[in-house]
Amino acid sequence: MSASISSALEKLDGSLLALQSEVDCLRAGLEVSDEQLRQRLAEARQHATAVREVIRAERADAKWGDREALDLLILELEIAAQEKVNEQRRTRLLELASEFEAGSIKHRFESRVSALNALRQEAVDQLRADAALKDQEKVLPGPDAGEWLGWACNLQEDSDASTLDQLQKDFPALAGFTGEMEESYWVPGTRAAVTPAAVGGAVAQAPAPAVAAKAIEAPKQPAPPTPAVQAAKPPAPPAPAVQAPKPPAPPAPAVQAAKPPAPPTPAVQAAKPPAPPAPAVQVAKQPAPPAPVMAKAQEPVTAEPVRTAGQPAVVETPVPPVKKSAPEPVVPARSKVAVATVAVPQEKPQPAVTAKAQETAPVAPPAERPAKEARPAAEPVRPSAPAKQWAAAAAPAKEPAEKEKKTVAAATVVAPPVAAAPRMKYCDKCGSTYPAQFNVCPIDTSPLRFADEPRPAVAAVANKVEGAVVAATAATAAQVISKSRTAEQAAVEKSRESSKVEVSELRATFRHQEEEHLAAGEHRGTDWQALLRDKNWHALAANPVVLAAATLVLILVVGGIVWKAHRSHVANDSVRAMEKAPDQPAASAQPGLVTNSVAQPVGASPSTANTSKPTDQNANKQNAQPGKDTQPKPESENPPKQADVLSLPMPGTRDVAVAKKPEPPANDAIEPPTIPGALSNTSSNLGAIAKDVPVAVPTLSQQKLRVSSGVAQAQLTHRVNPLYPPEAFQSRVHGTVVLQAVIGKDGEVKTLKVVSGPPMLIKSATEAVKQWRYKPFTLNGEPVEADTQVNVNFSLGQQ
Amino acid sequence: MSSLMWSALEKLDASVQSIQSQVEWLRAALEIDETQLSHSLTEARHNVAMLRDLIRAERPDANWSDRADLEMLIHELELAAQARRNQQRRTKLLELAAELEAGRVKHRFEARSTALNTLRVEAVKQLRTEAARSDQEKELPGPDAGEWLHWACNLQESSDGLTLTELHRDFPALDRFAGEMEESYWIAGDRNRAAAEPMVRPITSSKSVTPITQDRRGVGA
Repeated sequence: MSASISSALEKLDGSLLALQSEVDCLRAGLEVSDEQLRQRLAEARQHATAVREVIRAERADAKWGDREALDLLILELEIAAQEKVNEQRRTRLLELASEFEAGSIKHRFESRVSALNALRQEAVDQLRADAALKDQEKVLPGPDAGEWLGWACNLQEDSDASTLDQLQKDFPALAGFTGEMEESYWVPGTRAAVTPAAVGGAVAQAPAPAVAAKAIEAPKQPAPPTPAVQAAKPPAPPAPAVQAPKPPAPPAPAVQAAKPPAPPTPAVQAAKPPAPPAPAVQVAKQPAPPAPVMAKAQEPVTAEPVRTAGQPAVVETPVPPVKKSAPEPVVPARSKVAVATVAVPQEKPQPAVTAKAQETAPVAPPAERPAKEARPAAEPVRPSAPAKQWAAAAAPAKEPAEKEKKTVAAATVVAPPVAAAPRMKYCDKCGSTYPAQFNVCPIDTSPLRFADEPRPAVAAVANKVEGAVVAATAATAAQVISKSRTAEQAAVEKSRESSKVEVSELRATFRHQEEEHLAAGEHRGTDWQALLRDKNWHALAANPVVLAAATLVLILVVGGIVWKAHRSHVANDSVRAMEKAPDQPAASAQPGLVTNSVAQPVGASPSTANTSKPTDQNANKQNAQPGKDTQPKPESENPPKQADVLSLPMPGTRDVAVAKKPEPPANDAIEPPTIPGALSNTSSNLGAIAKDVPVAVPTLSQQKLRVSSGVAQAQLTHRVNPLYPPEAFQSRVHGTVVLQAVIGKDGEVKTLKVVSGPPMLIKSATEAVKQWRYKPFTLNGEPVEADTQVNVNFSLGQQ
Repeated sequence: MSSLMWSALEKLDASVQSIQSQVEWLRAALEIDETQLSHSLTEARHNVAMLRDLIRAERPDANWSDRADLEMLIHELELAAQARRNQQRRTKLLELAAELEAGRVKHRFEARSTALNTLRVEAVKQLRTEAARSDQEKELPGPDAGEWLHWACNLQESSDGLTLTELHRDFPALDRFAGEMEESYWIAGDRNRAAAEPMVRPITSSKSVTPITQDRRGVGA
């Protein structure tokens, strides 16, 4: 509208200029052409009529008395037109934001879904932040909200370069989201209608500063969804709950550090894990991110019956006294399980593995054992066939490291079926997993439950630590839960009694197997020779001696490779380490290499990924063992200080591998396993391989943070309005001056570069913006420079 | 003439102002009366033509390009007309002075003649004095010098009161002379000769003037 009015007004002024010259000639007593004079008069009348029509089209009742009143009226109409344009742009942004919020993303990998959801949320936040701006200077390209994502996913770099550039410049978060999205991932939802009230509220709400502050401050917090934190849990879903400012994300089973995988509570339940992971894998825990608060909220308070190491494992599990939030199963008071010993992990908030199963180590310093296999050496119960498989996989180990290695193998063996098979049951007390057919834990005879069932009161020692926090949260639900407690107790009673027979059968089966293994142990040395002579390859492969030898060879080879890799890695500088870090495959894929993986959301800058490196490195150093223990020791007498765990990478993550320096494999001889069927204790060499390797972390202060204009505007502390140049105002020159600004660490504008804008207005805009002051942008607590775009709008409504 | 030009200019300005107001309405994109505008245009063009004629009449080769030039030109023409006017007045005064100076008064009584001649001399003096002024603000009424005395001696107070008043105000000596004179007393002389010869006798004191009675008695005795 304003263009048409301006055009008509300019034509009118032009014709009047010519007419005025004729009148001046008359005034000077000069001769004028009557025809020419009348022609100019006619033109002026025609243009005046056109101006009136354009104005009346916008405002039918418009009236004015002179030229000044006309100019004011035109200004008002232009401002109204601009407001209408702003409104339309704002509505588009809000509609697209609503569209994104209503829909969902589906992908075969949960981690990818989480990463894309994070990007989607960022895009929504940016859209809403931009919609909250008073001046809508940015135009969202593309069609309406319903078709926008389909259009954006089909943009091509060669043919739509300008559109992509505009999208990247004006809506970087949105561009990042669409760049990672595919049309097939998107599941549209029912979008809420964007009402004018909502549009007006968006302007008044102005959520941009908070969002911007959070976006700026985000790097301070631990890394965003870090599925790699759960690297010890291969099939487990990711843990986006690490990012505290984000809305409730899918739970982090791995974040539940001290617990066995627990069902997600309503507070944090966003996605159920398909199957609980092998708890044995969750041994090496990094320092828990903020999510544990949520995780803590899930766990009810339990009172762990204290056990003393070395005592006969007459597992008497009294009813946990302090438990209000969850029903407490009535554990049979006297479920005597004749086990040799029970190593009790005490007071420490151990990882889930510690609560997994109680190891029947003959001599086990309880405080030093982070994880123990619950496979007593003399298990009286013989498990049934499925239990045999499980028991064979979880064989007792002489040393905790070896046991963990077996546990890994067990998890490796078991996990695929678990991941793909039907649901598994958990023992809350010892953290063991059993097939669904089991109802009672054969170790401690505690009832088993599925992952998504309400967790009974029995918990591991680590629950104590979280009990205080959980109690407050669980108190509110205590009343409701207590009602079902009695019913559950009765049900548990029944299940316990019915499963006693199964337990006895399991124990008998186990006992029989152990006896067989012991009996076969004497002939183990010749068995393999006989098999070799007979060329019984199948049996030979199952022979423990052969397996031990093969494992040793494999470890030696891997150790050599890691050693070489470490040497080359140490020779590089920190910059190459930074460059290679995002591209390095998860080194944890190699056995024997201890990694400290930090998963990054797709699209995140490498700098943010490195924020957790020091912490992780420290944790890694703590966890790392030089593995100097080269002396062959009995399995039960040589527990490592700390266990090294193989961590498997999660799909869709970027791992900043902190490779530990592999040392030469230990020269200790491979001991024949004491328990047949078990893996050799070559895992003791795993710890000997890795060492801490310093990884250079780029200095955050050297980086320049790219910030969107909306975010930068939220950080503005002092603003100087530009002066409208008089000559520009008289010439009716208006528009937007776009400047590319670099904001220094002190918040001052360091450099300004003109991107576009009317030449007459550039100087005024530049002089004003130079005086602007921002709150310093920080990244991980350190001030950094910020690169942003500043748009200065000159409107003729200004004076 | 000058007043005519200024008058024509004022009329032109009025008609142009009417057009200008219509143009301002057009600038404000307001509707205008086409008939009134056409009338104003016609009138303005007529006034322009008249002004141009007046100017060209004064100065045929006059040329100007804008309003300022026009006003300057008109001013120049005004000055020239004024100067011309002054010169005409001065010339008339001087011609009358020469006429009065060349002629003489003849009365049967010598004393009366002498007195009238004295008034005549005073009038000539006054005329020359007035003619010597740079700005001729006073305009001598009446015809040319050759018929002026005849005209002056026939003025009547009843019908020519205004002229007599102006004459008495602007040229009192001439008025006194004309008031005492009769047309039959005057003996016209050669104006050219009188203009070449300066005045023979300056005006003497009154003592030297013999009264008529003494002359009459002197001659008649």
